[in-house]
Amino acid sequence: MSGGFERTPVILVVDDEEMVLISIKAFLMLETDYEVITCNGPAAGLEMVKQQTVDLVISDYLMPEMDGISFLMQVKTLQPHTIRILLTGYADKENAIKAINEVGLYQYIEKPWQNADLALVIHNGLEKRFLIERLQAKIREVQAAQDSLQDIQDQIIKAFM
Amino acid sequence: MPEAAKLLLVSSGASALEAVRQAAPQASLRRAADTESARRLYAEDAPDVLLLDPPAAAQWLPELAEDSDAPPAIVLGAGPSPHAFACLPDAAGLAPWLDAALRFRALQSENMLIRRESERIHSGLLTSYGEAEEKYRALINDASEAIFLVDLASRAILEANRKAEELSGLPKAQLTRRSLTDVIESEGEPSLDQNWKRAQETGSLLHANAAIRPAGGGRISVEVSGSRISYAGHDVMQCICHDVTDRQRLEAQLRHQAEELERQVEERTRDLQRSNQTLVQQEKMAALGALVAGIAHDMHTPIGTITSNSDILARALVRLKDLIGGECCPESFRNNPDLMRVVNVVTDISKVNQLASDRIIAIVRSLRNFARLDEADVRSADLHEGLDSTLTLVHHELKNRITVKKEYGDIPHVPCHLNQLNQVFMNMLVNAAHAIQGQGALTIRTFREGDAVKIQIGDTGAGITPENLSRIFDTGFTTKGAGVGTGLGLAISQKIIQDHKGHIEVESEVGKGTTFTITLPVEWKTSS
Repeated sequence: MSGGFERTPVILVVDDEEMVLISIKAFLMLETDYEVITCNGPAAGLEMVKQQTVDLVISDYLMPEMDGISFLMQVKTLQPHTIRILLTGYADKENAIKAINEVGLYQYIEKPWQNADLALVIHNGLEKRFLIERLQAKIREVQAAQDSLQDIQDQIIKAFM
Repeated sequence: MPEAAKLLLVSSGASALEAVRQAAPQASLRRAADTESARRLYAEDAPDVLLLDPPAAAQWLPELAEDSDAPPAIVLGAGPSPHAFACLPDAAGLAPWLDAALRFRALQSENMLIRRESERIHSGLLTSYGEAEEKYRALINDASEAIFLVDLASRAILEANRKAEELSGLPKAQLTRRSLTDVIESEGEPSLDQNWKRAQETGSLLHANAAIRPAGGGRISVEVSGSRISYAGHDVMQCICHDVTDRQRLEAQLRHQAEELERQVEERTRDLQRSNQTLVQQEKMAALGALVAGIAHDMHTPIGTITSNSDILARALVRLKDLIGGECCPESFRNNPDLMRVVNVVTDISKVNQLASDRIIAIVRSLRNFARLDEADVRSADLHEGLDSTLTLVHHELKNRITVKKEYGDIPHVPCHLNQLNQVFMNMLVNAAHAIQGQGALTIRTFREGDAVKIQIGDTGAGITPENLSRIFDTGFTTKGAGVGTGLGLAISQKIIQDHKGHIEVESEVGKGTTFTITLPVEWKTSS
């Protein structure tokens, strides 16, 4: 089930709790055909983002190396169009809400999460991601068409001069 | 004698004159012919010795004898005369008698002087005695203390001063008709009677604990001190009554103030002990709250994962069932009843796992809400959320026994430390659960009333007796028995609600149940 996406989406999950990583990966593998990469810390996560295109990142908030918001901020710098989701405990809710504006979070999910909610948020996020991708492709096409038109126009002008 | 002796001769005949002159040549001699002129000369000249012829003696001597100061008289030419100094036949032997009469006269004069002097002194004494007595009366009368002069034997009042009249409300004329014991009453031991008997011997009286009952009503406390004096020939006791009403009132006031002070100190000490206990218990509760919050936090991730995994397991089983029934499955597996039974068992217990973990999550969430360590400051909070969290936590006290009726009204958020209010709710709910023996009901009502929000927690329990009702908020008061109740729950609840500028009221009827009403302001006035 690719959910009708043109290519297999790549999802990165970052949490210092191995059990969370396994649970989310197990769920997504069962219910979707996304490619799921898991990292048990922000540093490893950033390495991954540097190496390959990631469509969507789910990150825990409270982690030893850096908090989820700083991590997602760096992800945004590396891959601006990646959809960023924060997984947060009840106590960190307020910080998460602030971060939605500061970091441009797509969504935050409260722990303990409902799998159905998680699936929906991820799916919607990916849809946005691919819509933007398609939009950008279209813009590029239009730009290319405009460029070639411009060339032709230039040539015509030259021919008549 | 320094001056010439003055002689008065009374004689009708002149012959006697010469004879007397010869007998007393140095004396100053005057002669009167008759008694008449003799009286005149006697008054003028005050003679030292009288010389009388018998007729004059008979006529004058009895009269003169009545005056003890009259000079000695010598009768010439006659027989014995009862009042004469001497009787001589003629002037011939006069000289020695005259000498004796003059000496007698000198002694008599001296005696007269002494008598006059003593009379003069006596009259002077009388005058100063009168003055002293007058001064004494004035002193007594103007004295600022009530003074009675009382007959020592009969105790009859002889005199009373103005102050005595004032205190007793009786005029002196009436006081002096009474006995002292009629006017002053004795209070306590020894009685005035006993003291008086002793004073009759010792001469001084001291009697405290007495009172005068004024004629106009009321009561004046007095102290009586007396000393024996002599007055108008009587042995009297001069009794001074000192009005001690003011002093006693002051003493009583002082005593009262001292007692009041002592009472206040005791009360303050008790309050301090109470608030100390309350503080210690609050500290404990805060520490326990921190512990609970910590545990709840740590449980969050594992229990979240278990919940998630239960869900995944259920989904995986659905998929597995599809696969078993599907085309790709070998015939031996497809529709295999044993396999299907195993899959069904796993499906069932997976559902139970989901329910169980859902409940654990609810409890953990409630614990976190209850402790609310993240909310150290006062903030607007939903009391219903607090009540629900608390209800989840006390579920074990209520289940299968007590039905909970929630009658939540439309109330605004109120400023509070919700974790502290939760503690109050918990306390009330647990108390209610303990009050209900067997089956019962618990009603939680919330509603707004003016600028306040009210939370009523009512039970159908045993109720509280009126004598206990007044003590339930006291620190250390418990009816749950040692080891069950600390007796601090309601004391702390009340303190928390007071800190929230609210108050707790309680209504209870034995056998019917108890309702606690918590009132909290919708907003905190800045002035308070």
